[in-house]
Amino acid sequence: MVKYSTGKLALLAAAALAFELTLLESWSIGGVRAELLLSLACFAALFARDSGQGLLASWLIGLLKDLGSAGPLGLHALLFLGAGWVVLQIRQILFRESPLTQIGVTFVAACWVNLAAAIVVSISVGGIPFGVIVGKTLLSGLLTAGITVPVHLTLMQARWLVK
Amino acid sequence: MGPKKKRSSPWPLLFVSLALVCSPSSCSQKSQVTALAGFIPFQGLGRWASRFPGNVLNSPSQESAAKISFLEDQNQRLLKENQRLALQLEQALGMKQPVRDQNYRMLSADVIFATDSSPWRKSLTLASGTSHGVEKGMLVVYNSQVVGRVSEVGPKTSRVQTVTDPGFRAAAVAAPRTYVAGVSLSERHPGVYTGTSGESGELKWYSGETAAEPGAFVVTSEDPINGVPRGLILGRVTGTSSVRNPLPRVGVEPVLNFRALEHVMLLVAPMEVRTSGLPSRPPSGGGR
Repeated sequence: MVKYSTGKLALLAAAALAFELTLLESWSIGGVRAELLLSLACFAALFARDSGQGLLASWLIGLLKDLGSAGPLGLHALLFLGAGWVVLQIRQILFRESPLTQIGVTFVAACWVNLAAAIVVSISVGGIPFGVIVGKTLLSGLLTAGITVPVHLTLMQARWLVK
Repeated sequence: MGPKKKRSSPWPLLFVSLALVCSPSSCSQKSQVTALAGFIPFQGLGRWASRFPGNVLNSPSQESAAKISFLEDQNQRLLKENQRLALQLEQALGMKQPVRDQNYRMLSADVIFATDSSPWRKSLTLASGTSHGVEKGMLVVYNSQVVGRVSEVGPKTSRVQTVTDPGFRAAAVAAPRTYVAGVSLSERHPGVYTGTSGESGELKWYSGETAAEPGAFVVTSEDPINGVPRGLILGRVTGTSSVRNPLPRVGVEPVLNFRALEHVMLLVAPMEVRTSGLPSRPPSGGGR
């Protein structure tokens, strides 16, 4: 069983934010990149000691993502909290160490977060074409799911990173 | 058995998140931008990222090469500094043309992050804030091309809403491809340029009688109240939704690659515009 420290995971998330906005951005496809922070939030929810730790870690990672965004502070914190809560509810019936489970959970979480964020931005700032929303959401989900296995594997093997 | 598992409620964090979302943007956005000052040390990572494959392939393998490499690095650093200053000078000179009669000043600022963490917003983070004279609403340019507008300012950092952000709006006109400097654009009907959250923007609400041929530049119309001089480039026309439509939408692709930006210029509107909010009209003789 993998355990982690919430503080260390938050520090790792801050470094991941810088990585996401620089290196991952340079590897983006059509302006869409893998969401490293969301992958970390899924790890936090899947491997939390208890639901309190999972919720707090997901929320903190979402709040960090908000720092780098022009959107309202708390939006991603709210969405990551929702994704984390759902994962915590169903993780009893999941084989969380399986790469397939991690891919599936991250893909669904990425689709939820991106779709909800797109709706909020459309309502509050201005319309985003429907095709852009669908295309970006699916591509982001796929890319995020793609990096999940190496990210989770690294965190499970190099436990000193988060423990 | 391990300790008894307790089930926590998400409600407290949910309420905190909702309170943050609903809090005035002047407070929350300022906190966000101020907190980003902690990422200033990562500024070089973005520049390095754009040359990442080269860095990996060219890493020295022998110890004897390290000293030469160090000296080469120093040489490169000085050359880059020279290039950076030359670019800033070039930008300043390039900017002279569009803003020559409009008394705008310019501030230079380095880019920390050339992107936004949300895929639906498009912004840049600059390593300049109120302590450097940056103010909310300033127009950000690179050469004579518009990068965006300052949306929030912290003491040491600021955030720029780029022209592809869905919240960006500016009065604009599609200049003919055969545009010659000095020819008035007053005959052209201005429209509203908006970002789409994708890689391009749109020009809409302009009269369909005005032709917008593919490849033509879309330039800003004069808007002194918002500190926008005329003639700055927003992008290039990629196509029109429907020519028969009385109010067609024109696709506009930015000329700049925002991800590659290392520094930008901020336009400081003339004092009389900032204080009174009224356009300054020079005397008919064209004097100051």
